Amino acid sequence: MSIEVDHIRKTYGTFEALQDVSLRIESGELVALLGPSGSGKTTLLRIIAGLDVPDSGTIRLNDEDATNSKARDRQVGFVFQHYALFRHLTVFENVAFGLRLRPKATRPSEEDIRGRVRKLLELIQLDWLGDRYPNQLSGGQRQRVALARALAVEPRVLLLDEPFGALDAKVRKELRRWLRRLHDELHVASVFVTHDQEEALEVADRVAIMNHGRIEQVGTPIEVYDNPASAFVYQFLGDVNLFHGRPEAAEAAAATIGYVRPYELDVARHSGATNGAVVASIRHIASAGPVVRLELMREDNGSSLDAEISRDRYRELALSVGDKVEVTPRNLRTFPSAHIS
Amino acid sequence: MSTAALPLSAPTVRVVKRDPLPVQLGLTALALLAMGLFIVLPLVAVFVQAFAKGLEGYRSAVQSPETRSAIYLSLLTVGVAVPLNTVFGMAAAWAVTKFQFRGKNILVTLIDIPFGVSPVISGLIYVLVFGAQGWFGEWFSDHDIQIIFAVPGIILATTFVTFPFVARELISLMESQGTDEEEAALVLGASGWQMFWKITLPNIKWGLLYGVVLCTARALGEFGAVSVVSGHIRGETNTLPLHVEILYNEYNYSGAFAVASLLSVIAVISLALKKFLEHKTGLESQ
Amino acid sequence: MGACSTRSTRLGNRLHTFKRPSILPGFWPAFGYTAIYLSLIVLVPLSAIFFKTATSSWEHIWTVVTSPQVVASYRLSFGASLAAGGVSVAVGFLVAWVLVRYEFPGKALVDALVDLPFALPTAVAGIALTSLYTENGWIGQYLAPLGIKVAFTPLGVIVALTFIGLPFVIRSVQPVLADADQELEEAASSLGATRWQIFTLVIFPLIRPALLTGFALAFARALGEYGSVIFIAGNLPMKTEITPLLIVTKLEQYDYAGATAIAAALLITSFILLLGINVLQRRTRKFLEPA
Repeated sequence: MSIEVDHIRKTYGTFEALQDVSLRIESGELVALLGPSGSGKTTLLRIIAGLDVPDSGTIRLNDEDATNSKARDRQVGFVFQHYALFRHLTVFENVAFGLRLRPKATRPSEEDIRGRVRKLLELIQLDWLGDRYPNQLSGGQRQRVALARALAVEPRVLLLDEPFGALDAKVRKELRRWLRRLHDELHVASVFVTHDQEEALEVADRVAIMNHGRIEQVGTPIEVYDNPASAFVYQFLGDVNLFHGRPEAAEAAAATIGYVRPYELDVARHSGATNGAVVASIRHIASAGPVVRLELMREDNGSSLDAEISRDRYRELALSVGDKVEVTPRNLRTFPSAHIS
Repeated sequence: MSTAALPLSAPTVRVVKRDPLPVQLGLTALALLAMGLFIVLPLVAVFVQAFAKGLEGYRSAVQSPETRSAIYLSLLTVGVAVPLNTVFGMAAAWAVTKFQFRGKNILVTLIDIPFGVSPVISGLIYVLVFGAQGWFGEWFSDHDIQIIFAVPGIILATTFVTFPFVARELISLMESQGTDEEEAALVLGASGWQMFWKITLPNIKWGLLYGVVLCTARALGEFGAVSVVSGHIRGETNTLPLHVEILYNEYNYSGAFAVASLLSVIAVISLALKKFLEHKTGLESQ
Repeated sequence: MGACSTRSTRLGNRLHTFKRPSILPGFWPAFGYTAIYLSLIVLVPLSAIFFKTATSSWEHIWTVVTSPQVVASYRLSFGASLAAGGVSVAVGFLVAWVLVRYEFPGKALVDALVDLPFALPTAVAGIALTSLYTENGWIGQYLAPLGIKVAFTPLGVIVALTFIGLPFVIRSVQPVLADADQELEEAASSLGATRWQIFTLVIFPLIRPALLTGFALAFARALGEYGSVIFIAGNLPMKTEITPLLIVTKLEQYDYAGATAIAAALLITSFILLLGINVLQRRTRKFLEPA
């Protein structure tokens, strides 16, 4: 089932949470809403679920206008950031909740309910925890129960609000891969909200990057990473160095700002001659890990730069703190009226 | 983009010893003495004096028709005032904790007003409204309905005095629980009532009971407000605390303390319940 | 038709500025019921005090609230409430300190008993305290030879009000004291503070707002207290009559205007106190919140 939001606006008092947001998510697609806190991504997700009401705009589920339909009628599965498990019900009853609510005519038999819940618990690999209460579970387990509960009602779309936000790094990585596989099996449209660009780029089919209540760019992970539409998108997807103009074009320095990723800086020992390269001195070296990080200070204007070089290159150059190096950006980007906010 | 590493020097931590044992023992002894003198001794005195004329005297005081009618009236008062305030408490807590609206803080402050009003004034206001010279006094007396110096006045005054208990308890509990679970229920297909009965009510049941216990204890024991509106008609408008006063003023001390002991037992039970429920609501608000 | 729909959207907009839209049901019934019930039980009856006061002349009101008997009652009520608040702070602090920081058998029981004055009907407390402090009572018999009379004197009023006020102080201080965790003291100690310095410079400033809140709560409650006081006070005119008692006395004489005037004076004082307490509690909460 597809999801379409069309020119959605939402304000809280004077705060504009969403300003004219449009987005279409096809059936079977997994889309990440990525952005800093306050960018409106959770509000958008809640509006799709029917948990919030937009000031104006249209929501279409499966190409039918659902703007005015209630949350309970939208058949969405929603996973809350803090899981919102029913604290007085067991894991089993939490998952069964949505099925037990149904009117007699459409409610599955008790046997069917038990069977379906058991299957879901097996799916999340927690069938042995059915009798526990939510407060007896770990964060990762709660997360999976919340997902199973959302899936029990066979939703047409699956919405997840910061699904891995409260988990530690290792569990996070495991769960997001598992979510990807699960999504592929379910054939629903899924949207998840995150502020972690690594998570979004790894898991999603497409990423919508949000800022100040607007969608800055939508595209596949490769598209948004390689062809960022704005300075904001560029800096949000990874570490950035700012170049204020080029040494030889001093008069243009105030107008242009160049952006370059730390691994896109070529570093060489300073030869003495100025051949267009930026000269900087090394202030700190972090050599543990797959790449070596150099913290540099530009000689000409005192601003700092981060560079990442391979271990081989580092050994070859035999750098140490205080050494002077020449830095050449391999891939300098500029954006029209570029502001990083 | 690059943040300078902050210099962090490990502080030399000297482990603080707890207060020296003599200080601990001395202060504990002093505190226990103060608690004993100020709080426990009066309670003990009630029970000792209650049996000053032996078991027989106790029994006759407790079983007298006047005591019985006082018990009946007290229970009637509780039976009306507590459910009224409980329903109100749930409605108020639902509106205040699950929604954002203007003037919310003012509403919460207004709900607390009865706690800040002298019991005597709590009674007086109903005399002013319903008394012979009051706003509606004439209308009611024309229709032969008596509110002041009668049972309705007692119930009204008690309702006023115990007004905030349930609301206050539920507001702080539901505030901490947020709206996530209710929203989850709605997304899963619950109707408003299903959400309330299956999610909200089970989540607040201990806190609700806690508020009801406090409300009941106070309703049973209220003296000042009820004293002003009751008219002290024996066997008719006497609640248990008023009956204690009458017996006491008639120098029937053992009788007064015997009836007082009944109220004290209820007070102790409510304390025990309170402790138990505090533990339970502590779990609820996690 | 069109005019009707614009009007309804305008109403809708106005409601939206009052209440943020939410998908949770039941706001209007719950809010409406709350507002109506609050008005009927609390606001309308309470306003009667002020309407009634407004119907009598200022001159009359002034004569009533400044008559010698009434002024004497203010002196007693304020004086005894202040004194009782002070005693409650001293004793309450000690009890809270011991309950939070030390372990001893029966601690849970003692902690539960702190609330007894909240739970015990005031009339019961009143007659019990009176029986303890009369000249042949359990405590009074030891004080009488020393020339100390408690029952039927202002001292008795202070005793009763302390009984009522103690739990307010203890329950205000306890959470703050418990929250002032050991790390803070360890930090102070690692900076070279002595035990006394830790107490006076670290712990005491931290709980001072809570102590003040407890004091104000106890004081406010004591001003209006009736049941526990009237038995032990003896109610001698000009000597041991508290202000709430005078309201009752006037009422029994069918002097509604007089009773109302005194009540209004007491009520205004209480509300000012409550306002102060509100500010204090907000400050205390600020201390409680993790930084």
